Amino acid sequence: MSGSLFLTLILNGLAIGMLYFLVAVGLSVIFGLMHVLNFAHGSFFMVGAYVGLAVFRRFGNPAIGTAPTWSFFLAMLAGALACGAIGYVVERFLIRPLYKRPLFLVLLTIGLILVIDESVKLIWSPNSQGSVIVPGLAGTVQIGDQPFALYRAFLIGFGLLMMGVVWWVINRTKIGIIIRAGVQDAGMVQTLGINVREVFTLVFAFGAALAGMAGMATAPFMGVFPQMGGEFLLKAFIVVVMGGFGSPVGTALGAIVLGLTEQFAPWLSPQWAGIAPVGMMVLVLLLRPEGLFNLSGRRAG
Amino acid sequence: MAAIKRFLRRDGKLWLLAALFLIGPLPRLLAGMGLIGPQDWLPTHWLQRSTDIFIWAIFALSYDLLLGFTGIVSFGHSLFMAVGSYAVAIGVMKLGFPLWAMILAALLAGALISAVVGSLSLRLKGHGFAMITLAFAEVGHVLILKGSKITGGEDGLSVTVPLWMASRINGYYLALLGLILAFILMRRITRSQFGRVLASIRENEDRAIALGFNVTAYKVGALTLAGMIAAFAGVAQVTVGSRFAAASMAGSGPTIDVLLMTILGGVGTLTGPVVGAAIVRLLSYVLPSFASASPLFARWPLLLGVIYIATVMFLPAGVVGASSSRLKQVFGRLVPGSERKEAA
Repeated sequence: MSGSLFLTLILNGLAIGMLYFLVAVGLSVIFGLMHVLNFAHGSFFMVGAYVGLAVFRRFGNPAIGTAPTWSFFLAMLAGALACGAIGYVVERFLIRPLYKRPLFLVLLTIGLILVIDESVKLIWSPNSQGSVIVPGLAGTVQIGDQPFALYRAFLIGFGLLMMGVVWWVINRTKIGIIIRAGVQDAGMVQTLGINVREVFTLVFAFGAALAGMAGMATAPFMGVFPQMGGEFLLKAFIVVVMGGFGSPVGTALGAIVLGLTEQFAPWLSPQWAGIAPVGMMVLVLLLRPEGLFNLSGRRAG
Repeated sequence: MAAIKRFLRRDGKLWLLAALFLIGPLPRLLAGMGLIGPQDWLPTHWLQRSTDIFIWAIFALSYDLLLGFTGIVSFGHSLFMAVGSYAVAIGVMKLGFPLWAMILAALLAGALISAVVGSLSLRLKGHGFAMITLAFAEVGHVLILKGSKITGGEDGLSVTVPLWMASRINGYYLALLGLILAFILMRRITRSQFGRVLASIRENEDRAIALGFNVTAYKVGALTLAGMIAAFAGVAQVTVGSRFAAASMAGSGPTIDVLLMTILGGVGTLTGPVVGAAIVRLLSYVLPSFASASPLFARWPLLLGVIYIATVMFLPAGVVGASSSRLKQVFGRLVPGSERKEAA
């Protein structure tokens, strides 16, 4: 393996790891804070991609699947806002009445997958939506003898920026303190006179918005199709299991490790590479259920 | 009246199932007597669809042993059905073993694999267990897809069965017989000493531990039995059902389906999963036929999802359980020890 190929694999792993982070961080904090295993999170991700794409295409030429670069950022924002709104409604009207029945909460989010996925197929057809090209971020740069897509370089930068934002919110703001305290003991935070329920709603909506933004960010990378939600849900679960529930830093590390594993596993064994991610999930759950990078020591169970 | 009530309470549900033996060939019988035309007034795929419902009912019963009778949530139950299907498909079609031997082997394989999965993962509770079963099923899914030399990969495996088994009416009888056997077995399990311990785990796991029961061993036992019955459903699928083993069997689709069936019908009952399987499958046959009226019906899982969410929120004991207040009490707090997170 040449040095530049090695470097390209690492950069590819980082780029897709950033997408995994954006999807998984909401899932992780939502579970850590309110113990909701949100199976509909992947569907939020997919809705973000579809809504974003609709906005993106509004400003461009549908025939060639491209639009001005600025409208891509608008599309990411639209995906985030739409999913934030859906997340707000779901938490407020469907999840909140069920906090007393945690099992049914999980079952509810599975029902949401059906409703959201089928609604998307009803509105946009069950077919793949074709390729998405962002003109300003198209093309490749040369790393040694290997080409590297410019869009992936953008993803790495954007992902690092979002990691910084999430880190800042969690560690440097008042709401972040409440969230961290809530992950430790939500009942105690309530006792201190903070309306934890409102924080729950906020975190759920914000997590959904990040997933929606990730959906549109994924679109130029691998297209837009109804099954993308299920694919990324599984990836997000793997990340969260590795990173530990309720730990944003662990999620970031888990996402990068998963991204790198997926790049390097096919190099070891092309046929069985597909087992590596879920295999890691099984091993971590069996050997270290609190996660590999979890500093707070909270367990999945 | 009292006699009928007593009958229904004791064995009625079983006899109602047995009565389906007579209904199956009814259209043909009536046609034979000249009472109806040869084009049956019943939907054309009546026998095939009923067979399909019976098979799903077996699968849903096995899932309810975990969800309803022990209170553990598995998201990988489809794996065990796939094990049953593929054991028969591979053994008969690739290795040339006799069918009866492979049916036994499939049941053993189902029990063995679920016992291994259970003893590895039942140390984890609640969400952790749900996640790891999801992961195990996904591992199985990838193994089936990638081991295409043996499993057929994406293409799956078709199974040819002896001629007498291939007739639709005999398939109907066999699937129904399988359902009745599964029903009787489930009734024996849930009413036994073992079943009572499982119920105590569901009600309050810590208390069951304090009483001196080896809770993990009981849970592994429940998962092993459920895995075996699920493998039996898989066997039925490749012998009298679709006669086809597909990789998607191990995916999340069948697990979501069986969850819908169990919840809709009534979790923690024996009739519930059977009724639920019938409701979900019937809806999936009927709803698409309204597609010309509104595209909404072409996307019928959307309607199913709405019904399901409404059930979860307003009718947690399901269609069958709704009449029983005892069940409502039980399933208001299904996961043992779950009350502790309620403070928030």
